[in-house]
Amino acid sequence: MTECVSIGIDVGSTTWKAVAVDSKGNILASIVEEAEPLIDRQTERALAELKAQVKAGDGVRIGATGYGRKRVRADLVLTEITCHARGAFHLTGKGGVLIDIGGQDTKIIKIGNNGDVLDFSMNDKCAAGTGRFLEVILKRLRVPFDEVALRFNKAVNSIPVSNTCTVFAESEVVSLVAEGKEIDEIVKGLHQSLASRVASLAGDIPPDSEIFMSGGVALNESMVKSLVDRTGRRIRVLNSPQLIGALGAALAAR
Amino acid sequence: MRKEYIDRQKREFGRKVVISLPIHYPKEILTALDVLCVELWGPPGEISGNQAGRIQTYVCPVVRKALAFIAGGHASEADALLFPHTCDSIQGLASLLPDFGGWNGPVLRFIHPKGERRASSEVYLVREIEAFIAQVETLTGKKLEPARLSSAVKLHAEIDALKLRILKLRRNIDMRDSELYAILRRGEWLWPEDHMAELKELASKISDKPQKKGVALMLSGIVPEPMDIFDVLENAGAFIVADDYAAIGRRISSSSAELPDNPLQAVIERYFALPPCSTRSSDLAGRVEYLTGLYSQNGAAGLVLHNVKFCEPEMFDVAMIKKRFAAMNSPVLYVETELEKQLSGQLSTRLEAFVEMASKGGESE
Ligand code: SF4
Repeated sequence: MTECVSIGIDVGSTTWKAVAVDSKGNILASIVEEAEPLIDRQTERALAELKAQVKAGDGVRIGATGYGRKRVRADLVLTEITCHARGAFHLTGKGGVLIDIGGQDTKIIKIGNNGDVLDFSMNDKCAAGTGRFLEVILKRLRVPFDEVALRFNKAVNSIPVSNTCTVFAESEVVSLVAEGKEIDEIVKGLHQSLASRVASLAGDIPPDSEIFMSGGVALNESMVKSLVDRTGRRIRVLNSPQLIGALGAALAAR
Repeated sequence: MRKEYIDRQKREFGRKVVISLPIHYPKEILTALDVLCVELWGPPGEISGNQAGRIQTYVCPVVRKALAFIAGGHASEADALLFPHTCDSIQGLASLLPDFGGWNGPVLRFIHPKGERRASSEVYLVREIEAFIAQVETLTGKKLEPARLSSAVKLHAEIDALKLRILKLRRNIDMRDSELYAILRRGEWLWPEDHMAELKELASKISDKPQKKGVALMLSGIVPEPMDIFDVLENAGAFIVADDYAAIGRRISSSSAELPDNPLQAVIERYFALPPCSTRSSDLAGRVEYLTGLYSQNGAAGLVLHNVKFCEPEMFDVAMIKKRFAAMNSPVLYVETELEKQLSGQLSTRLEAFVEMASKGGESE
């Protein structure tokens, strides 16, 4: 097996991710788990597992990112913004605009042609426009993740969810259900509402900029479709999108 | 500590105490008439008491907190309140206060001229300062003596000169920014001579070589609250190299050197020599020039616009400042805070990411 030179850990609000890379930045192994409240303990256990998988020696360097990054004993600690940009650039080899919808925040990162972060925006107020928003409402609607795409595609119309606040949106959805509205149409409307919030955070994306998407929400094809419809642009979902932050941390720590 | 200090000022020195809303007012007059001025910027943390709920939530937290504080009866140790004409929100508070209760004492006003220096604004300011003197004389029962005003002007000019020197050479002080700002901000409530003594001690720490390393940033905004913004930036590898906070840098008059002998005229000169400020409706183009100059003279590598949420005067200027800095290819981050006790995790991440971006995020591929 190729030698592992570094491991990147992304401690997110909903998931804990780690990747081990070789000197060229190829992913040798990865772990994605639900985030546990005791970050230190989870990191110690899962990191040992990953190290065992890739037979990592003591010299392996650790990079940490994500909202729990400061709880990780690492050689290098960087924000998600820098790490997502680093990971995305490694995979695409070009600049562009990266949309990362995370559990508790959404980031729009402008990446230069040399991989530098040129600019970014990030919601810092509440869960509106984040993966948590989607998660809370889908849970309230009792729609499991693997049914989302089916229901989204089945809906002929959509019912927009107008409240930006997750808590208010939850009660809005409860009222819609009580009024007998179609769940599938609410699911579609929910995705479209989130897409329009993300698009407004992104602002005007220059026509010559490619758009990439990372983060766990990028695995939700209904969300990607809603964003494509809302922006009228092609969006390239990066491979293993939920691992991009961890990959960036591993690359930076090499 | 602050309360004990204020009590001692009253007890031992027989000074009157005025609680002042931000930002610009002729402090020299208060000093000359033996009045301790304590500024009300907060207090940080949750707005407590039901009084704050009586004004719209889209009024800035400085005003909502001031209302909660005053209407909750916490200003009782003051002999008067002072409302400078900083913005509509403060004016609104001044006119609504009698309806909220909590304060029955005297209220002083200072309505400074807006815009640039003109012959008419000079005439206006003279009249306004005379009116202010009359208000403070009534409060203290003392007559303002020109010699005392001259000494007060001299003292405040010295304080400003010292602050300017400290800010200019701050790279050479081996001290965390949070500590440095804590000392600078003690001028918001200390008697000027006591503040001067602390500033002198601070200035004695200026060494002949730079002590700071990392990403040099300029900060601009109304007030550096929450103060842990400095620790977040410093822990991320940045330090502050230039200051345009209304509570700090924008109140340092640069006319300290040659002031007219007539002390009233000197107060006027000092006022017009303040750096541009949104709350004095300074010409925006001039303000942008001033900021770009401050930025480049101090070798800053990024600008953080740190606004108080719902601060209208400041918000009007932001778009143009951002545009100008973008045209210079200088990184700009806009953040809003509400005088909370601590920064949120997301806001800290934005600041840290900004430092990484300004330092190019390490080596690129
Ligand atoms: S923060 Fe802005 S709006 Fe609020 S009191 Fe100060 S100047 Fe006025």
